[in-house]
Amino acid sequence: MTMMYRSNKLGCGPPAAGLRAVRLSGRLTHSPYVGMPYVSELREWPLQRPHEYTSMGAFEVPHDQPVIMSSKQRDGWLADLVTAAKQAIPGINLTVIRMGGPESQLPAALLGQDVLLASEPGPVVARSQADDRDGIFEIWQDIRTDGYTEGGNSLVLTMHGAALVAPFVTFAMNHPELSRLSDLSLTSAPAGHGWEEE
Amino acid sequence: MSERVELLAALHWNIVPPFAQENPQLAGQVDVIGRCVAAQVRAVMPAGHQGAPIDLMLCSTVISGAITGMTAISERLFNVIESECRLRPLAHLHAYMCAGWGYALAYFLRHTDSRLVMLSMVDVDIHDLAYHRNHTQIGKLGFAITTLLLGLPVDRIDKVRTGGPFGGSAFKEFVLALRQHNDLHKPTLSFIPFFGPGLSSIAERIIGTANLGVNRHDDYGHCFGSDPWIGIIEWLQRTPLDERINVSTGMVALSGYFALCNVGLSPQTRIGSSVVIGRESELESEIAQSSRLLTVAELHRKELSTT
Repeated sequence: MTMMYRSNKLGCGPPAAGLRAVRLSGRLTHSPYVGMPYVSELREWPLQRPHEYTSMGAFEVPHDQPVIMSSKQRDGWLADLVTAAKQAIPGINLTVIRMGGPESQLPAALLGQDVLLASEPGPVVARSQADDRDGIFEIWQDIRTDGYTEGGNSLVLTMHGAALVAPFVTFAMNHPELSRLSDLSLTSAPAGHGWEEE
Repeated sequence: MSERVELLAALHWNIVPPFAQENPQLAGQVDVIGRCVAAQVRAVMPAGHQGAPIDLMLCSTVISGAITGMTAISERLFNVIESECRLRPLAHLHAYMCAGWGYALAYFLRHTDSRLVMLSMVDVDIHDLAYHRNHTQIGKLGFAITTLLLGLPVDRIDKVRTGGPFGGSAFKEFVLALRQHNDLHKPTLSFIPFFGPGLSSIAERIIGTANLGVNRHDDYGHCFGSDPWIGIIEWLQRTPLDERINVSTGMVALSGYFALCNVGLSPQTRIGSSVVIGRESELESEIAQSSRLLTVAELHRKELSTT
């Protein structure tokens, strides 16, 4: 993997020519909605019998990262990101987002047929690429919410498609929400099946 | 050549809860789920299939969030399925709840050239929560694993409709969209979720009871994304087909989304169904049985010859 930029301020030169995919990764350490009150979605599970408590113990895993958003906020934040990316980069044909079980009602921007919410986006992206689809925006995220899924509040955005690399870099460098990320890096992604190289 | 989504095979297991509670360790339960899915995949696989690998997607509503939200557990499930049937799921769709199969189809139709896909709807409750036996709006809930083999047409445009988000339960929008869909496609019947009388009476009034598949809510409860496919399998078990027909399949997720698809059925559609007690021994016995599915034509020929 060739490192292009590594900076918390993505103010660097243009991407190398011929690149087929580019990847931005970082971590959210603060809520994008600091100072805004919101309805907590922390729900008590309706557990009744002893074995139910025992079974739900599967979710009791230690987390290094705090919960910084409700699921509704996370989904809204992802929806805004998808909408902004599509406006800035018209060649996006498909967005695949890592998303586990249902928590809140999904926003419209995540329910279109040009978006797929899947347990793991990489194989889905690779499947579409195998049929010569291009212009795929892959969002791997494990943003913790009030629900019970594990997560590290990290975000890995991969834009697949040679023609979309430069517009994506411009988008990433100028999008205010992405500048919030810590440990920010922008790298070339392996061509094709980026998910395999982890 | 068909210009609609064709149901080539469907296998449904109605799973009587509790599911795999004899040894309620998450890893072991996930392995059982994986073996169930793999057994269904083997059963719906076309005999002697030599072509391109068939795509497989899992869709769930009530499955544990540990299975779709924890990477190690999700990987374990996929590994078991792959080792048992040599087909690895592309992904597990959980966020769309019961409407997941519609979004899976939309993905394959728009974003691949795939002509053969398998969708496996996996809804069992490894936590065995009393909460999952009944829903305030829907009534009784049931559990199922159902795997479909679907043929996708060359023309990919507007073959599946998805809608949402809507306020409330989206049921009103779903039923109105179904009416519009039926005006266009003129289906023989429409197969929709098994809901209690509060919601189902709305559909019966607007679509017409005679135009709907039998509502099996009293017997099975709402079995999540499987309902319309259960309805189709049971209808085909009762109804000989002389020719290809089309039906409407619809599903609503009460979080506010729906999916609708015009689906072709034929005398060559292969079907099967079982009621399986959720004990591990019973599940393993069902997994081990060689379950060759019968075509609708074979099923009714067999019936004729025994009557």
